Amino acid sequence: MQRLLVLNLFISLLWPILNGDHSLRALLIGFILGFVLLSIVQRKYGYYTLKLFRFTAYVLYAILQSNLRLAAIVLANALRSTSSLRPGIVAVPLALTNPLDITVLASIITLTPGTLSVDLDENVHGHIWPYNGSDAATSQLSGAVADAPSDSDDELVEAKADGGALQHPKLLLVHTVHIVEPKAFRAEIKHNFERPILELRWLLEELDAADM
Amino acid sequence: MDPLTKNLIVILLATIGTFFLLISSLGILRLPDVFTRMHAAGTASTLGISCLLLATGVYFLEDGQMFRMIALIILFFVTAPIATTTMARAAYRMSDSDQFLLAHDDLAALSDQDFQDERMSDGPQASVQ
Repeated sequence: MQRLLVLNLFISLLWPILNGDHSLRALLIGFILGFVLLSIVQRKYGYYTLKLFRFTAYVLYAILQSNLRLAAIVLANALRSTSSLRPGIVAVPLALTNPLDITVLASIITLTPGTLSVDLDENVHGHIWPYNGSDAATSQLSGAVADAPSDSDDELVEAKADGGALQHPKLLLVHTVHIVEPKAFRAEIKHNFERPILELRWLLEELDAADM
Repeated sequence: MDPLTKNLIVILLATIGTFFLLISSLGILRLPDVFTRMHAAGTASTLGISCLLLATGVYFLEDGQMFRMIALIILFFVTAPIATTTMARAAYRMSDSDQFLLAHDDLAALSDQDFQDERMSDGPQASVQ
């Protein structure tokens, strides 16, 4: 991926130099030209970039949409004396393992008004567990998280098949301004935001493997 | 660009931006607890500020300020959520959860006192309570 990106930037610098037209527009044309050329050579590069753009566009659209929804909620609450809000903190089990991916997901969740990532719980199952060796903590916890991984079984299985790294999911704790059904909310976050990030990561790994 | 359309676009963007800033300040004043107020602040940072910056970019289009404004928006989108998440986490850890209006709380089970103690004594990196 890095190699292809450097090549792409190199072509986009070459185009204005050879044309003798040192403007930003020439640089842009060079970049697009390089992108098309590289996409023909390495099909996955074009696919990855397009997918990335589509996801970015989707995130911007989601931000706009939830902004309007939150504005309506705020107006409705500001005008009334009693509040009808049902805020809540929901634990979302993550199929993502890469720290950068998790950061991106948490940032996207915070950027869309109405949802806010509060905490990332990675100690629960992952790091502390093997050290203390006691079952008290885990049994206590299993009650709290029991329903969490259950609705994402298919993704867990997939992730295990993919690398085997995911034994115990990290939990991202998301605060939402109005909660109706925690399960539905979890599924929504996983489907809308986590799934595309995971797919992008897989595609990137495939690309790097093909590039070697 | 025709100056009339340019001014219209600037006015439209600035109006939308100010409207969302107004909504968000209303929300910060009127919503019940820390987290819901943070949602309101988030509205200001995303749509409100982006619209105002875009309006500035369109107004100074001939000076090539648009790229600078877009760079600012990208920087804002990258940095703002990290600060907000840190504040939310600090808010949850600093206060008792009965200060918040929460209809559903998964974090309460996770930050249970006994569990937290166990973590503190055995964990290589004890988390701050």
